[in-house]
Amino acid sequence: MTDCSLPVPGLAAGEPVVCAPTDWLVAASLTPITDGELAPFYAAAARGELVMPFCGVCEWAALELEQTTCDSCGAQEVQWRVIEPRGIVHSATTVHRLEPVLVLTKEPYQIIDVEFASTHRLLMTTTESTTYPFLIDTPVLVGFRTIGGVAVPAVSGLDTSVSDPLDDGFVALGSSAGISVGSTVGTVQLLDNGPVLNQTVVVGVAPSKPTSATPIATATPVATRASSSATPNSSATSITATSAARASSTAPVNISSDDVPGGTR
Amino acid sequence: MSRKAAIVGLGLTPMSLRPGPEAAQLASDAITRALTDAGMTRGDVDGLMVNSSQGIRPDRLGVALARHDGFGDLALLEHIEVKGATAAAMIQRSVLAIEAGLASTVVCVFADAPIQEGGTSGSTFAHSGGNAGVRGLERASGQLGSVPTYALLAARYLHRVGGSENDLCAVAITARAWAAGNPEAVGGKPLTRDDYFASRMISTPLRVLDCARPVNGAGAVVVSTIDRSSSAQAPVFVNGMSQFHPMRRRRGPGESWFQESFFGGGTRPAVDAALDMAKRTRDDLDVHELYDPFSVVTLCLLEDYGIVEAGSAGEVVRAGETGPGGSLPTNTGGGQLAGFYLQGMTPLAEGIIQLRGTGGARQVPDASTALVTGIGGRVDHHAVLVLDREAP
Repeated sequence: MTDCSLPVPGLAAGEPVVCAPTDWLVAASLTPITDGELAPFYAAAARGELVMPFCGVCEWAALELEQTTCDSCGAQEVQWRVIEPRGIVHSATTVHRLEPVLVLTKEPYQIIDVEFASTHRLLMTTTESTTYPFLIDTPVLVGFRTIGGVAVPAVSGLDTSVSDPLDDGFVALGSSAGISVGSTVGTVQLLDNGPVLNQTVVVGVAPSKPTSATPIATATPVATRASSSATPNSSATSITATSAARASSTAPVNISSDDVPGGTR
Repeated sequence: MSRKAAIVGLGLTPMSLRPGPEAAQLASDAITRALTDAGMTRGDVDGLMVNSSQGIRPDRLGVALARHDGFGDLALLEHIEVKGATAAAMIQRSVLAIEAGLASTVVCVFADAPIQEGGTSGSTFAHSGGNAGVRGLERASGQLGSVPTYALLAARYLHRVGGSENDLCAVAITARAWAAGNPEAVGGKPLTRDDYFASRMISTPLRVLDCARPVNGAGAVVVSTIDRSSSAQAPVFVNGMSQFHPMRRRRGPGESWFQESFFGGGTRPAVDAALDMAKRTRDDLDVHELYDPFSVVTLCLLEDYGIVEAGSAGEVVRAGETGPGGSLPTNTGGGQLAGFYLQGMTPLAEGIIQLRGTGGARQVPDASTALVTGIGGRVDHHAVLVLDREAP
């Protein structure tokens, strides 16, 4: 399903790539235009990095994607900085209407508004088809999918690394530093009674170039259908969202399957 | 200022669910109807305000409408774009222009023809928006049309206020109850809870019955000096007006689609300003004509405008207060949800109809003061009108 032999436009050989030239969700006619104000965003995404705009003078002030002037200090100096590709769900919806021609999948799909620690918010779908309904305040990981050769951010799974380290049952993602190309650094599972996304996180690098480039972790999704017996601890429908609690300074919340917006699973 | 402006004409085309005339032709029809209603002809008009449909579409209306539609020399011609707030904003601009002496008789028109051969209106909206900028990024993520956007808003709203689908259901049922009395409504069949919950899910938590009913149709309003009002129709005065464009950012820790103070009525000051100008209070409002593209928006705006207590809209609607016979008649023609989706023209037209007393089966007895609002973008732009049968 993933073909890394295809060249990615605008990417020098040897640079890390996100391999998935054919998108699962939308037709290539929806390939985003990558020049203009979002050019740094797409250029970074092609490298497997998530960058967001900050004020170059305030430095701390998060700007919106198309914002050119800081609303705090008035400076017109946009600085794109790499942010941690993990956040919490600000809101989410499961889209059941499958627009003919434009939407390729035959299953309902997710749109998730992810809030990052930087305070930025970004709307995205998932790296792979899933009917898993994301709940508000759930910690998630962000990877990339490609459409028409353009990488765009997408939720790659639940971020279980933010659970209390004394808790068991969750696998923390390792840092990409010092990990050799091709190695598996961790797994992320979306546990549900229905289809399960089993994300195997591997390190990828573009073909035809020695390994001098710095490898990065990219999420190569592997779709599996896990029975409940295969995931005996799939009581993951109740997750202690401690990262959300840290991020929003509110009390920890238990998220149950009954909290699904719209109540449809 | 000695010149007093008022709304003196209203024209609505039939609301069609089938592919039909192009937007420009519909606009022309509505203009003719509005001028006939006002006892005027195109030769009496010296101002034209054009409100095109939202989205990037080849059939967008523009100022060329004036030339194509046979108008003579104009003193005022503008294509106004404040998204869904445009219709109310056009009325504001027309009244101010007339009272300032820029023009004497201004026609404001909106037309749209999203239902096209070989596709649904949903497809038309889904295919518009382009591939550039943030919108292009969002569309590449499957966010096509406006339903997923408002579904995110709805999920967030219900999460924040502790509401449920029952609240959305109550809005949908209420809208159909009003629409049953509106012969122009395209969604006028009474609705039960079972009907609602059996209806097709579009984007959780929004079902098809939570969404506006797009039509091919148009509406036009004539604003003129009070001395030009025809004896056939009582003038409707625009006694209060305001706009509010909250510059909230889509970032934490604030809300993306609501004011920081939303849950305490973030747009309340704008409604206060319009009411103050009209020398009215919320208690004086006989009807509330709100922009309701989705059921959840009615709930949001009732709270945001300070018409009900924050977090209580669901309960108020479920109790029947916004429906026929209730204490807070809201979207009395069925709104965009069950009447017809002519964007900002829908609440504006219904406000005029109610104050003229021509609402037939859905007429609110003795309605004399109306709140009419338009919202644009993702609840980013508000235009507020307080209409009245009496001059201030």
